Amino acid sequence: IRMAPAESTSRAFLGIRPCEMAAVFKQDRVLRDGPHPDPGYDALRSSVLMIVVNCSDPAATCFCTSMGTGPAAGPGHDLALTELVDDAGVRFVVEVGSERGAELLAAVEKGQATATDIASAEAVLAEAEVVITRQLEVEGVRDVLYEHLESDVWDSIAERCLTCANCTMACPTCFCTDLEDVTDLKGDHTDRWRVWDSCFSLEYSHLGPGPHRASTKSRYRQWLVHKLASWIDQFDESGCVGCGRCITWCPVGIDLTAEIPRFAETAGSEATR
Amino acid sequence: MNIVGAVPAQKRALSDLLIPRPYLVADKTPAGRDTWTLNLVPTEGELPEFLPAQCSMLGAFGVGEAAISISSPMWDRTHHGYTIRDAGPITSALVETPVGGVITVRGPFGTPWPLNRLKGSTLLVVAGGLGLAPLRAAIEAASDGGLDRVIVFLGAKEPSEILYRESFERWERGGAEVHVTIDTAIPGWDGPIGLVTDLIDGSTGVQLDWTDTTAFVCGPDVMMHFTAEKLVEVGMSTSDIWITLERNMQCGHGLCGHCQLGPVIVCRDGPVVNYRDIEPFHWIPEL
Repeated sequence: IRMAPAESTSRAFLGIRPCEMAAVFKQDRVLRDGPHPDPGYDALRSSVLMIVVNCSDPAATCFCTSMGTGPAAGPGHDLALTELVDDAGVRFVVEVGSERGAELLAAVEKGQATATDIASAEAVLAEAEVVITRQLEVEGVRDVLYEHLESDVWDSIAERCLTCANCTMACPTCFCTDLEDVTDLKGDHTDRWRVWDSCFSLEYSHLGPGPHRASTKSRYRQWLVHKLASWIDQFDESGCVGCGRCITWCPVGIDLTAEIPRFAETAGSEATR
Repeated sequence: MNIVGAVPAQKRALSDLLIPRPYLVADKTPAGRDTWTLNLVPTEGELPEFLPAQCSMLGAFGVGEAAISISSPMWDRTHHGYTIRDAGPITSALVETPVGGVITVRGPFGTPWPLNRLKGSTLLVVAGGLGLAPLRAAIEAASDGGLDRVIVFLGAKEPSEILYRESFERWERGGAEVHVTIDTAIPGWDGPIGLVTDLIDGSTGVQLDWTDTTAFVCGPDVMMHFTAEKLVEVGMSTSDIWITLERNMQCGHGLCGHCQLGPVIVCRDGPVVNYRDIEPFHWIPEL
């Protein structure tokens, strides 16, 4: 029985957004910083060079401001770029986040950022914050979801949800994996693969007699409650970065920022506190 | 009561926990309908230590792995025993492995029965059917002494489904009181008839100080729910009741997400959980 050698390719994430960078840090907490660090993840992660581009032009689906992940990148990057487009031309104001970033920048032709440039960059990001109108009230969301685990709201979402798993595929923090055994035709040789998985699949919750979460409602509930509530108990922070991709990619337009407030409007169960 | 000598799985490297180790089936005995107890020995290296309720991922090549609890006594260092019910393709492949055949093992993992943190002087063990398997090693350890009373309530569908009958005498010699009930009357059975929860209301004649008791409960979810509720009814506090959870397991150490029940990652925060903590989530369908 042999374990395949860990991958050792170095990677650069060029143009990653602040919300995506925050998502990487959330996955660090799950896959690298727990009691069982995943050596495969660690090997990939330690080589990553992060060159973030701050958001000057948020989309209508963005709600990073509610989750504290943007539109400007927090610490942790190697370099963070803010694009300026004005009479002085098109240019980037670059913030150095690490020694590695500084070394990289030393090799690039650049000028010293003027006080005006820096002020303009700050103004661009302040303006971006105002443009973001989509909000999610984060305070108390864990308790609200735990108190409404049997709410009719789940049924109304389930009437629309296709369990297509798009949200889990587009979400930058979804980390679930599956172990699959694959044999060759002769049956002499088995490969075990660890593959990305989605809690929306029926097989995900398979127990002896069949899937534990058979209904659409139970699978959607698992995804949303994990992301916004139980993740907090498991990892001390929310699992959502407010990127809005799940909203963008849902083929039936389910929007968690619109659904979550509906729970608080219905009677809850004190027993689930 | 102190349990010494067991290495918690949490301290081992992930590559250790992900690479299956081949074990040989040394022995195989029928244990009721579709159920077998397989005794496994490693093909190389030491038999790992474990604590009662801990599980291993047992694998059949090319089919997959299932989480099965280790049911042999901790003091038995010749093998690990696994009682497995054929309930799907993986367990089917496992129980069909002949003596001398290979099954892979990863583990052990999970939280054990809190034998060294018991409140009071009485331990009540309530088992439903196959639920006796994760409890067996705890009963063996508890009936070794150190506790004023160990009481076992076991409910089975019929006598052929009573597990580990050959060990009851040893438990009783160690001071344990064993009471078995079956679902419906059959000729030749002169013991209690009915659900295991019926034993809790005193129909056995067993007198207990419920405020001086810790309960370990294992069986189907519905059985654990009604047993815990009955125990609360007779005066126990939810924090003195422990149950064990079951969900789909893949990695076995908290990285793959599959075994979640609400906030609990069953392979890491369970399978043994305190009923007070799990109560808000346990009885919600399909959670």
